[in-house]
Amino acid sequence: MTVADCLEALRSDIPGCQVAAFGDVAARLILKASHDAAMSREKLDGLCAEAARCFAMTVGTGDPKAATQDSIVMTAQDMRVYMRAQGRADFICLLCTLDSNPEEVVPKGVAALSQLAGDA
Amino acid sequence: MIAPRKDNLTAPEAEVADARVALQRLAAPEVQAYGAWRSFGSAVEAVRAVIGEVGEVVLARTIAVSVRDRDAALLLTISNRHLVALEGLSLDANNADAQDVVATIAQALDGAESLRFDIVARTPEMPSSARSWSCQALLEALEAPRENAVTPGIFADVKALSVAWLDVETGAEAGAEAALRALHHMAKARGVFVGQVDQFRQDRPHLALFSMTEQNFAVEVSWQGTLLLAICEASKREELRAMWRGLVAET
Repeated sequence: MTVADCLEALRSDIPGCQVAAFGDVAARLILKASHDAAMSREKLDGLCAEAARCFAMTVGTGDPKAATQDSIVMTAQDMRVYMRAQGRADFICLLCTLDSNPEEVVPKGVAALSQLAGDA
Repeated sequence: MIAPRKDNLTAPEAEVADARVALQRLAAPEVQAYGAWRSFGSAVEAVRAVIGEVGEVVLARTIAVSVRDRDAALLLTISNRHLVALEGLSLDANNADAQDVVATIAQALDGAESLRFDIVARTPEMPSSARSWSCQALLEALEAPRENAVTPGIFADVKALSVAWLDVETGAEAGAEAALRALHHMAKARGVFVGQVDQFRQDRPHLALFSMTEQNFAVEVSWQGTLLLAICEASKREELRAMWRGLVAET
């Protein structure tokens, strides 16, 4: 399964998910994303910047033994979920509806992250 | 159109399309022409662009501002860098100040981040009222929080639910020393990052939950320039999310 296939499957598995993206906080780039045609590059860049900020803020504050880190940002319109393996620069970003349940979304994202890390 | 070389493999069509759009964006001038959709990083940036349009127009014009995927458009009559009339908004123009105008425009755009500007009249009928709002006044109104703005109860609620909290603006804090050290570390990292990255705007209201340990997680609440960092027990996650959804629904 390619990265694109994995992200496509992840997005279709989460109701209302507008974006499933794979990026790199060190490079500040979204490397691959699944989204509809109306999504702008600026929006993806904004998500990547937000992911980088969230991960930068939590460096050194969490449990170093935890396998993954996640950050959930709720705005007035949506919910953004960012996940990465501990100490890794690559991450998964999900743009979901505000009423999404992170307890359901995060495990799916973590599973996809493991799959992508295994493929890498 | 140039025919592709027969022996050269090409990328899938979807990737070619992505690259084409990226190249077009790269080649586009910073200020795009009328009639093109423009995307912004946040709803506030979209409102700022509308106000920026007021600052660009000297000779009288009526500009239509369209929101992607919506039928309605705002009609702004602008002259000499002043907004002199608005159509498509429910606003008492005779009694509205710049903050009222900005708030009404923001409400009309309703969080939209993709807009198109079109000139619809080059000799518009000017209103008889002498009332107008300068670009500068509108920009100042956008930047300054309302004096009577109510700080939402979520700040007090988060403090009550937390084991430690830090008001980043005032420096007020409460909680155990180790937890406060972690919060100060987060505030410092945030400050450094926001200073470096222009793409991230501090002014968008949000609630962020950061994983820390199995027992605790960190919280960031931002609303109208006020920023609170806190550490809460893991059992409070759902309660905080419900509070945020309630606040958004109310406002």
